[in-house]
Amino acid sequence: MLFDYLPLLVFLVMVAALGVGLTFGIPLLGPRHPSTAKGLPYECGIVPAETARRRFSVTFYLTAMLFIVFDVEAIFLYPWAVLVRSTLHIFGLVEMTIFIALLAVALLYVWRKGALEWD
Amino acid sequence: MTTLLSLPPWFPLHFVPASNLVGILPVLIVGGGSVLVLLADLAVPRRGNLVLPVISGVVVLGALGTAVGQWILNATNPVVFNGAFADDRFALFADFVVLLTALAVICLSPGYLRRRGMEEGEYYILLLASLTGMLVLSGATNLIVIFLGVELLSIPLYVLAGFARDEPLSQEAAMKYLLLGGFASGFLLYGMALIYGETGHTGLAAIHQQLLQGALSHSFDPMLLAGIALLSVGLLFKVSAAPFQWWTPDVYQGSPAIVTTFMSVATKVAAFAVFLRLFSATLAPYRSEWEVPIAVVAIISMVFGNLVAVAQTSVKRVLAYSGIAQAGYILIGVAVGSPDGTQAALYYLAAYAFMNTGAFAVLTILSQRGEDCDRYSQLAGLWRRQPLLAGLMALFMLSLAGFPMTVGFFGKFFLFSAAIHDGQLPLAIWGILTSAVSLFYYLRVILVMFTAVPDADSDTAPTLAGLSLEGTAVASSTAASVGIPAGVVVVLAGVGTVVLGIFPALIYTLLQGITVVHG
Amino acid sequence: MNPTLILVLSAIVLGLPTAGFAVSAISAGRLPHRLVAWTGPGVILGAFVATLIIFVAMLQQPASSRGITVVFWHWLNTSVASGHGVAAQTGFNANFSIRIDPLSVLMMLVITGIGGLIHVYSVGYMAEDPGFNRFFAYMNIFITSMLLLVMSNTLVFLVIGWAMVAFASYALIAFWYERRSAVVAGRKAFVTQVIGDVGLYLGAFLIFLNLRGAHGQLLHTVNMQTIFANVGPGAHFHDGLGPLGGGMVTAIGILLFLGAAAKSAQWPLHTWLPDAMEGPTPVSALIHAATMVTAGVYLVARFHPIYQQAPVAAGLVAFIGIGTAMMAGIIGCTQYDIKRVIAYSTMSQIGLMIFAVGVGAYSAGMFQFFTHACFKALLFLAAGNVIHALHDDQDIRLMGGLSKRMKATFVAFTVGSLALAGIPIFAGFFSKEELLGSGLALGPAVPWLWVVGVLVNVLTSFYIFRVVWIAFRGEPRSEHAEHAHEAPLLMLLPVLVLAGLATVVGFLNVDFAGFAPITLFSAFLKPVLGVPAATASDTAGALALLAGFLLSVGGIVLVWAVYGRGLISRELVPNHLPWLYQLSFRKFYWDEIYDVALVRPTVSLATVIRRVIEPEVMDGALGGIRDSIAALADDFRTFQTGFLKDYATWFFFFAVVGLVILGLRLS
Repeated sequence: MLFDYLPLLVFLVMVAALGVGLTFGIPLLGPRHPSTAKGLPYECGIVPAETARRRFSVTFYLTAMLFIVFDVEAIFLYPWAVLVRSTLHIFGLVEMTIFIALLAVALLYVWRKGALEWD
Repeated sequence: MTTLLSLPPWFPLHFVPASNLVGILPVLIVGGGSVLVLLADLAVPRRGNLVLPVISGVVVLGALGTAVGQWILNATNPVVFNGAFADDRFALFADFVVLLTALAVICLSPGYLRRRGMEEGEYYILLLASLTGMLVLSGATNLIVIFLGVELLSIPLYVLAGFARDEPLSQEAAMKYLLLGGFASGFLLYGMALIYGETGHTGLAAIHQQLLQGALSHSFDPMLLAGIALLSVGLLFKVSAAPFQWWTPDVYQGSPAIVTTFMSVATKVAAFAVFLRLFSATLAPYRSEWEVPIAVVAIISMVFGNLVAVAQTSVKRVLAYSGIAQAGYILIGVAVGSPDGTQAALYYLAAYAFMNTGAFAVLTILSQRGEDCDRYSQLAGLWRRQPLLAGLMALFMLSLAGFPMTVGFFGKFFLFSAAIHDGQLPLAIWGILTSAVSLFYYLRVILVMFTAVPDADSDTAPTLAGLSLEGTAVASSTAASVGIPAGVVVVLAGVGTVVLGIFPALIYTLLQGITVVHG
Repeated sequence: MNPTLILVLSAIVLGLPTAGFAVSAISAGRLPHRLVAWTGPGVILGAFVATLIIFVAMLQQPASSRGITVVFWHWLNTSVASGHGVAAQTGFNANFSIRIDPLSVLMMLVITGIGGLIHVYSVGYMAEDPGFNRFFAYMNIFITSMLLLVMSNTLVFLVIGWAMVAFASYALIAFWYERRSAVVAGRKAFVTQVIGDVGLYLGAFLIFLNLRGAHGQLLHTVNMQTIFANVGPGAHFHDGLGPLGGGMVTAIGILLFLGAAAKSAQWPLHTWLPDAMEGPTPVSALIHAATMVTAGVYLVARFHPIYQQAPVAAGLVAFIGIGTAMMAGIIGCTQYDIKRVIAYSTMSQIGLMIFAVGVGAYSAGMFQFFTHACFKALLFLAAGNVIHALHDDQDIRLMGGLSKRMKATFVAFTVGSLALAGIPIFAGFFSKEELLGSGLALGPAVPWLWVVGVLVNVLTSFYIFRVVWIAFRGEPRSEHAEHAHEAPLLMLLPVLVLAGLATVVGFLNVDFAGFAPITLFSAFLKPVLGVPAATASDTAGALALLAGFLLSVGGIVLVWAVYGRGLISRELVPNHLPWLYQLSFRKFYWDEIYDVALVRPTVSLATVIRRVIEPEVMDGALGGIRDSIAALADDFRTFQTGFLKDYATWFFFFAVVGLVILGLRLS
């Protein structure tokens, strides 16, 4: 019975071989000419001004996270907008109202807690 | 049911029948409650008031009342949302246990948070959010809903584990829990994917049908088995069964005691609810395949948990390893697979809720600013300082060890007898042997409380009788208002432990005739 | 009878003494004595009133429907718990159910009625004692235990009550725990009780394991009504040996009697009773009249369906009863401690009751129990008055002349003695004549058992009037006796009530030797105990009656001749039959025999165990187990490194192991 899964095994072996081959093959096959400039962190083509291990304000991460959260949630609006008139009707409207209301509550919470203030 | 609710005419009944919403009413109440608490937290930002715990308590009570109502009405077809969610008595029983535990935790919280100096409104929001996940999980009859419940349950707990923000241990616990939890979710999801891939269904009822056909022709689909195995691994992680228990000791020890209370009891109950539903109903046709592995995991859990607990010096870690061992005992009920086994496991979960909540509640009451009550030396001589607390703690320890006249005895008794009736004598023997080992560490706690001389600095520990919870800064009326509920919870847990140890039928009759629905 | 009413009333009967115990016990010394002085006796009298209501309600019913079983709650009900359809028939159910029928109501009336009077008396007797509250806590729990014993409808709660009585008696006998002799006496009583308990437990287990129902199926029941329904003569006979099998039912009868013998102080488990006099006098009264020693009689009467199937066991019971009666009577003649004489008289009288229930005269045995409860409580409380007046002197040689100083007590004690000796119109006369009469009719063919019974009567009247004479007549022989005063009213009142009872209760059942029968008592018990298979013929009965009466009077005359007039030397027996005197004075050497045969070997064995086996074998083995568990724990704990990467690795490893095993199994 396990024989049925032989193609899967072959596939797994191929995947593993490809990964290992690429990882170890490139340094072996490719030419290597190390220089100082190549060792530097890449920063949009500009010469790095300071160390890459700089500490960012935690507010940055917070804002970034909040953005991502609301951004992802907003994606749901697109498929909804396509379908709301044809299939979802009033139910879809109610559901989305609840959804948006929850987002609004979250926004309100974030706002009141001062997470949107930079300082 | 529909007649109970008169809906406005514009409501799309054809899409969401009212019975669906009624069926998940406890979930809606608790979920909505967490939003309500969130708004209330914005409205009353002053720290240390009792508005949030009171609202949370009322919300949980409301959900509890609704669940009781559902139990009494016991709709003929308890499956809602096209078979994705069941509000059968099995789920409702788990809901009772989870909700009562949550209520106990909410009663304990204000005093504990005040003493530990971490009165943040988020605590109650997260608690209720996690509780929502548990309620979802107990009734889930669809793989997607199961996953939804697991994550909804877990994510707030990750945050709660790190709630003591200035304590490195707490941070470490949160990080370990998050990473390992994510790891386990991966296994869970992978298992679900395999099962879906093989059966083409996510509904448990449909999967059951597929399995039935496979079992009838004695052809066990290996991919399906692998899926079941991976799904089990994910769930075994959640119930902290060995060898997937690694997170348990560190997280139990690092988390604030009140979070550990909630986590150790409620999570276990909810996770076992879905475990039991899956194995005793949906996967029953494949029983010949999973019976032995589950039994082996049960034995490993009992042996590992009870043995390693002996070597611990931290009370919370001891209780963590004891939790691993208890998971092993409950797994006996799963492995047995018969209705007897399921009932015994449910009984043990209820028993566990009483004794473990009680034991942790004592620790939370004894915890002071800066650190939890965790070292043996902090319990030393407790009998002389606070006889009532020490006596109750001793009772909970004896119950966890399975002494007669306590609820823990009947918990073990029903499990072992179910195993014996089912012809799985080795499981019962391992259970009894490891129970004997468990006496080593349960009795050590009692020994320390009753014989050792107290630390000089711990004489100022809060008292239950006087309810002088902090003594200095807090006005006595407020201290009483946070101390009395905590005291009531501990005493009620003790009363429950003894009364149910004498009259096990009080719960067992509830369990009679519970059949597990899977959509 | 209305089941709900009975349920509530019996809950009150059991609950009140328990509540009284709880109040006295939990409050420890904190509650004022004056409050406990009300609650202690109050709860018992309340229970008595509730019992009276049950009694009256019972009398409203026709005799055939006076038995009722009420269930308080279902306990350990596995016939529900196991959830299998078949199990419903074989399941075990230790209901907390109680049986209300004439027999139990009679016991309840005596326990709460006489017990209540003793409680009232104790308020006066113990007034000065610092352990006042503790005393009433023990007394109340004693009553509760005894009530539980007689009311229980299941073997389980019978056993629980049985064991609780043993505990309560231990606590009360050793009440003055500063006195070494009291503690030793309490311990002796308790150890003896436990030996008896084992017999009862084994008997109960054998019934549970072996009893078969009408279709030969094993019943596995602890419900006593079911048991009696299935062992009776009407039951299905199986293999020609009855539902239990011939040898089995005999074994059960003997084992149950072992329990009865320990409680009722019958040979060979009798030695604790005289030592139990170390307790306060009200305790003696309670143990001897209302509670403990009567439990054995009750047990045999209650289990009479079993004894009817086991003639060998019943015969043994009768022989031991009459033998103990004789032995105790002989010992009683030479003792000087006023309480010990009464104690041996109890042993002797209980022996007669055991004899009666052994030969099948259940009703007569219970009647003797009933009258005995009245006059024995009377004797003890009157003796208590004397002891109280003499500042705890109990030696009758130190008394004398008390009849002038304590008139009421003297009258009461004399009434008690007359009743005990079986002098007409007093209660003991009627009950004892009925007992001996039916003994004569029912006993084994040899009439000498009856002769022994009559001889016991002579001894009884001799030893009790010897006490009356030495203690109350003559001149005071000590300073305390010189200044003795009558007891306070609170202690006198219960004594006088009991004196009245001891005079009149005999007329409840005048049913022997062709007298105009008044059978109130035996008719009341008939639904439970049935009627004796035979009664003595009128002529034989009349002769027996006359002989018994004359010999009783003869005993009194003998006392008068020896101690009053000095017609017969007091040294007659000591000088001419020294062995008999020594045998009696040394209580047949049973204590010494037990000491050599049982106590010393046990102590030696215990010493060996303590010195050798425990430190070497037990501690060594336990220590080894402990150490190896600790070592294992340390080994296992090293897996729990605390590093996340290790945790994830192990997690992954075990998941893969699981999958690999799965794959290997399938291929």
